[in-house]
Amino acid sequence: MQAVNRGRDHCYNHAVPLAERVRALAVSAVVLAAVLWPLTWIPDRDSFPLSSYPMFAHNRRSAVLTAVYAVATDQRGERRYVPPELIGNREVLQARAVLDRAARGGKKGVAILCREVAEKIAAGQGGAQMSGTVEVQILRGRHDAGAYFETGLLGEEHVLGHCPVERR
Amino acid sequence: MKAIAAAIERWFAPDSPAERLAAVRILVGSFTLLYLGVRLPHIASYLSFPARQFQPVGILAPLDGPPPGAVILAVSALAWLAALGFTLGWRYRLTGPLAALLLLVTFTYANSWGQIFHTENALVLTVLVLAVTRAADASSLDARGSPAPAPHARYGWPLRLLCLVVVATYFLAGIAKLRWGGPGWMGGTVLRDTIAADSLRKILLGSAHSPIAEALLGQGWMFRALAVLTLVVELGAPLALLHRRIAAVWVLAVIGFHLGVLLLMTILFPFPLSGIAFAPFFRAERVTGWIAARLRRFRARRSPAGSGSP
Repeated sequence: MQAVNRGRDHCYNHAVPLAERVRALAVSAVVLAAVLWPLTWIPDRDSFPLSSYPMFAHNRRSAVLTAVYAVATDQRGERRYVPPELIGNREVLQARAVLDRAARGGKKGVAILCREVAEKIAAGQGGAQMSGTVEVQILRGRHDAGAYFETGLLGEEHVLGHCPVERR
Repeated sequence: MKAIAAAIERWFAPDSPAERLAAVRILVGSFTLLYLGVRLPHIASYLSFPARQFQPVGILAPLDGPPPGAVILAVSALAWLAALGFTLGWRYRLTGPLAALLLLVTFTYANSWGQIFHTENALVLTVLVLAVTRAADASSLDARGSPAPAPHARYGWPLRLLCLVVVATYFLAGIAKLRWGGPGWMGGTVLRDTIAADSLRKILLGSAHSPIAEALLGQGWMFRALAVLTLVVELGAPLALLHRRIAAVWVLAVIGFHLGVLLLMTILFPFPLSGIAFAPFFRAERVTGWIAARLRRFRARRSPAGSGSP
């Protein structure tokens, strides 16, 4: 009997005015519905702060990576990978998004990004790492990551666009 | 039927001390102040992005172009100030919702450039929930001079809701792996190839990759084990709702999972790694009480009266 009474005393129904109880239920229902809503989304859809958390979920069939990236070359043709902060900001995934978008924009999109990167390098933003570079190339490469980490060899590359680094 | 509904309601809204919900507010608020402060340069970096890169998501989705830089800087600064009010429990009915709204705008803006980072979702959701609760009825400037309220269901349901939100986010991530990766995801090859490709991508993008991942890529058994453990942690998340001890085990497993992600993919999830994301599962008031006691002792030692010197 005591246990039953304790249960009743702890019951939200008895302790809280109806309006507050309704508000609690409404807030909870809305929040939970919103958080679970992404379950109904298609695989490529994502948002913020609601998300289906699709990162790492896709059924990758191999370690082959197709990526768009930028390299800066010096007079001897030696290449240096352009760091994220010269493409977007310090976030590597942000740089990837910027490069992918430029590639989707075709020759014009690539040319604009290439020029922007070359201007930053010319202005000295790349520091010592980019000193002596004379050209920026935007590449699309298809590489087997497993093979790369075993042998150090990259796969095929295709130059999407290139532009000179014009230091004044 | 009525009995079942009452039982659910009792589980969902147990009597809890006001100090517990307040402690979660203080911990989450303090983390927000620190995190937003550290992330301001990152947020500001988007001001120099060309407008064509803007791909608004969430509440900013209706915008045609990025808001003016001055607006973003003002919103970010106000978000920090409102978060300070949120943390201190000062005029909470105003600063709570204001902090939540401004944080939502600030972080949505930073995620609206073609890349959603998933590192801030849980933080923003937690602040949004806390903002509409009575989280400043104790341990706050608003409650200064008032006696601490008795334990009550109105302090219990927000904590339970926060636990449900945390559990749901991990459960969704597990479901996504099964939906889009299929059962093959558990074999470990998908995870190994994903980590290998991610490491190579980082090299191609001139960034640091994990030497640990590179060294371990040949250990197929390890990635099988990691894949299974990942799915167990994510799909087993609802178990954390059953008992505080199960929650403790689960939280340790999740923190271990995030440490693994950091070591193998150099991706940092600061909110869960700090442990503060899981504060609603526990007696958080003990943590803030311990910190407050240490601060009092520190102050007493520094003040002339407490120094013991003649």
